[in-house]
Amino acid sequence: MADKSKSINNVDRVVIRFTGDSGDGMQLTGNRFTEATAIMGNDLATFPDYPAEIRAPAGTLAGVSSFQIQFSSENIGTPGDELDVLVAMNPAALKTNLEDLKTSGIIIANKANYTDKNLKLSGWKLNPLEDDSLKDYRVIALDMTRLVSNAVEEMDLSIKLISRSTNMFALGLVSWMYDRTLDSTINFIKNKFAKRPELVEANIRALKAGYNYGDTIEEFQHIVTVSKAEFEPGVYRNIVGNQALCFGLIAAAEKAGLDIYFAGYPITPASDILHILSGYKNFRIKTFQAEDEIAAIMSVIGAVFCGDLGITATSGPGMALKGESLGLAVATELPLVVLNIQRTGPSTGMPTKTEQADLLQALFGRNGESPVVVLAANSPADCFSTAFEACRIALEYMIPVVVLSDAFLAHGSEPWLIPQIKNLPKIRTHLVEKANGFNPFKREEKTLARQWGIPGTKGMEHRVGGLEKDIETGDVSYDPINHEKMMYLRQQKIDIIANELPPVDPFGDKSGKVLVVGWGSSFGSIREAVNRSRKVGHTVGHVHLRHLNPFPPNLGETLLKYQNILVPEMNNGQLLLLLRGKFLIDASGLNKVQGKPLGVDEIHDKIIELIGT
Amino acid sequence: MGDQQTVTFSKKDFVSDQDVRWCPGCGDYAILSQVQKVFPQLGVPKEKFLVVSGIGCSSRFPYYMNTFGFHSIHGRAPALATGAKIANPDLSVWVVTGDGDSMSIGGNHFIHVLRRNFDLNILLFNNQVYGLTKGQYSPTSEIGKISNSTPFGSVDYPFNPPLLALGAGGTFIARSIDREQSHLQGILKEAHKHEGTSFVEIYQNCWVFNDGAFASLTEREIKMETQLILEQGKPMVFGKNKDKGLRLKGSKLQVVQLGKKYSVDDILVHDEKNKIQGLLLSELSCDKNFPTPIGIIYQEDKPTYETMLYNQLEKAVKSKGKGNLDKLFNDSHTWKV
Amino acid sequence: MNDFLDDELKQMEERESSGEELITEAISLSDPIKSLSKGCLSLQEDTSLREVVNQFQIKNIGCAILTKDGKISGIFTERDILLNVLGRKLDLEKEIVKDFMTKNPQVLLPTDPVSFALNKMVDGGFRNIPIVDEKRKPIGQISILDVVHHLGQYFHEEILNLPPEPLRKQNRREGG
Repeated sequence: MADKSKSINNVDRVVIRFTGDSGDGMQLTGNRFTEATAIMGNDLATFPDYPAEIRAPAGTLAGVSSFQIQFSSENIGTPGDELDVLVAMNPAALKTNLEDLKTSGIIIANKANYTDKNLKLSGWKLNPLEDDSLKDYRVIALDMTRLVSNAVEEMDLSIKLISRSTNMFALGLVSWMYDRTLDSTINFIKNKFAKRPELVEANIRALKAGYNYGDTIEEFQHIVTVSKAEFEPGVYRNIVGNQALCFGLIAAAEKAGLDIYFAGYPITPASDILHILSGYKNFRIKTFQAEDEIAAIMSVIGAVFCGDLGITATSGPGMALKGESLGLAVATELPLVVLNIQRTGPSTGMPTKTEQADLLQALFGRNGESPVVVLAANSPADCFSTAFEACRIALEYMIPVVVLSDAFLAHGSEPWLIPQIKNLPKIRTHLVEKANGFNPFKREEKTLARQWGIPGTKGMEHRVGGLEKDIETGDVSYDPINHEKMMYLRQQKIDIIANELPPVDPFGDKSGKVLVVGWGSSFGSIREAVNRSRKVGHTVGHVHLRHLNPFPPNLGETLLKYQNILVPEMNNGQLLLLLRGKFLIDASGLNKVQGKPLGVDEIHDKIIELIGT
Repeated sequence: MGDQQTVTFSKKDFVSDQDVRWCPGCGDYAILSQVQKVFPQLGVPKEKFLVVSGIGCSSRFPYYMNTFGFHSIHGRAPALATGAKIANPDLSVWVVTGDGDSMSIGGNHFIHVLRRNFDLNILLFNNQVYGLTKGQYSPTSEIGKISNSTPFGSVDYPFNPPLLALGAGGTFIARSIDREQSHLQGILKEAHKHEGTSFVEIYQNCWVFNDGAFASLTEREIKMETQLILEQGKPMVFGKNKDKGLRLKGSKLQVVQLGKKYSVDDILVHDEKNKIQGLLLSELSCDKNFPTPIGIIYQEDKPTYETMLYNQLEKAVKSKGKGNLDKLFNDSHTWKV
Repeated sequence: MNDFLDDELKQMEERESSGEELITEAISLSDPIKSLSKGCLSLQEDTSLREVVNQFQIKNIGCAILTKDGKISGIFTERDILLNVLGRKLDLEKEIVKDFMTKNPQVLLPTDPVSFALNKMVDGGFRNIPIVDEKRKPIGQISILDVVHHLGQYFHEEILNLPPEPLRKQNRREGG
């Protein structure tokens, strides 16, 4: 353990970002630190930022890979705005990430990589470690390569292997600084690199060398500790958003007694859903990499017509392509789930950056009056519940559902309370076993759901299609009154869902100066901003909408209880438009369209501004 | 296969209650009739048929069949059919499409379903025009075609559907004609028998917008001279007096007169499994100097997509055991609070 | 996300196993030069300058190997034209190349390795070296451009598959 002569400083929360070249192993480092932190019992949230280039040349700005983690003794929902610590393994990493480091924050750099060549490649005129460009920060510049070299001296390793292990040195040092244990990392190394014992040994020695460095060198005077956070009792694991979506889908299928059919087309950042589900063949999950986005959703419609739980996942451009097909699903009243992992647009946009500008597309992006249910996940762990809920609604109401997630949630992670499958609610379906009394166009009163009679079941032969159909018989109909009735029916199918939704219950003050209404991944930042403003006595509430179509039943009356409504969004005012239009309320927006998540400070400042007016 | 079928069906079981709305005289009527006659003979329980279509006159087909049917969107029927087939491989899936639907907007889905070799049947009603939208030229219209969208004649080279299907890796490629009732019935039966994607091009006459497109193949007086009826293992002989045949000269086909110089032994024998011959035969429909082959042009046996997929699923269950969600969720580093 | 971790690990492993060795190992400097050279322009040493220039223009070549009695006697290149012919009042019809060529040039045998060719070029400052057989009959020539092409082929990925302005504008990210 650590040297007792060092003082201990306890803080509420810490934000660390590990940055370097992809080849420096920053994701690996970040992941290991995350696991160690989870073990220590802190609440945490992570955000990895991978380089989009497949292989950017070493040392270039385009090749910088970073991993950010915030850990705390309190409940947190974001990976943090400003950094306390920036680990910058090379000059390019320092250049791209320095602006996020708070004043007097700590920089930990591997001096050995700050060579003339690397400095030049990343646009530094002089070595920032040597001049006074970093005077506002506390700089710890070490020759990690040499230190690791010393630690593995008698092993006679290549310089390349030594370089490769410097990330472990950095991890060891930061682990010491923040009082993390090394056991989980050591176990991981032993397992992951079992086939290369010299790599295992080198990494472990480097890790320990970093840890001991902090312990022995006088420069490091104190350890920072973060107490355990309060968690609901249960068994936890760390989970990444896209993985959580997959779990939610599989759980829903099991609770509904259906097989999953998933079709997708590779697109950033939704491809991993296809990869993950393709690996679960022992769950009898059928996955299909279609020839294009349209084929993906069309095959899902075919599979759903035949009785599977059908899902497809994509991002903005794919949603645009799927428009006509989604309209077909609306017209044929079939249950299917479309996951849109939003990224910046328009068109190809910035594929690896996050945004939430596909809300209006989900609601209106089809010809004619073609409403679908729209849900949005608000955190990586929440992706599980949202996916489950989407399948429930699709199956119970025989209606297509769009789930909005985004690039930030897709790869971010946080602790997840693992549910027991037996405790999850059963999902009802409208599958019909016997032909007696089967009428494919008779709709149940409570849910307006059609009966689901699938091919292969005797006596249920019927035809469906995209042409307008008679509301009673299902035959093709051009009758004008019938068309209007069908249009209202399709709208009613959405509205009726609100009857079963829990009413809105704002967090914080139930009435007062400001109500912040948000959706999607901004949950964590909004919650913190609201907490901060309430701490000094302002009356502020927070409603975070998971259901965007239909809205929860009493949203309108809730809005009236506050003097100001603030809608922070990573778009140019889409939920804002809906709230204003639907509820005739003068809501204000806080709009950030930079491919970055909303920050706590920005939201807090805007709340204060509104209170002042 | 499957159910103990003591009930036998007849054509009328497959006739739906909808009024058939094609123009009187449309070739689609004949095709509908043959399909309704053939389905009861295939030994498949009625509820296992699924007819999927896109958009077009041809695509009204499902409404007139008393089976499960899906009238989907333009060009996308094959994609929908593949999802259905994966969800329930026991279904007998029939995709009904037209030349605009499958060769134009649906081109991409067409080639991929052939490539993947799902066990389903594609019936392409080729009338070489866009009928439903009132007379535009289509990707199978001949170059120079005068139509509503090409009043000065089209400048497009057309697709040759069997050739395209061959190129896409099709494992069953056949052609028939709306008027050739018994021939069409035979082909439909063979298509059903074939395990894999069966592609059948059916020449169909749209008398309103493209009357007589296939007149040379269907007029009584000349059809024997212009049709080459393919039969497996038989020499490719045609003509009213069976006095002409196809011969391979180098790498090209040649029409020869039987008589003094050539006897039937010189005539090329049709072999469905010969892809190169299939290629040569596919090209003939574009050449006025040759008869147009009808029948099965090419056929091969290859494992289907859904068979291989289900094998993978079985194997996975065998080796990893049936999926257990509680186990899956906890299969990571966990900690208890 | 596991894909990214796996990809990062892969990159770390690639980095570890690659490195500066590539340049020294992969150049098989022992490759015989005959694999590099193309043909040559071989003329008699008493050919007129006018004719030599004609041949250069017709064949789009910049080097001629001169022979006497079938054996190599000299080399004449575009550089010689630049330095010794242009600007002087010479009658190209009357002058013969023998008086302007470099006599008895350095030669290489077809089995000589590339490294040897480089050695001569570095040491003597030549851009072109004739290749002769045992009887000193010219059978080819190797130029500096041939060596550069050879390097390009060897380091296909490192040299030929480069983006148009490598490392100058790597400050933006893309992806798809």
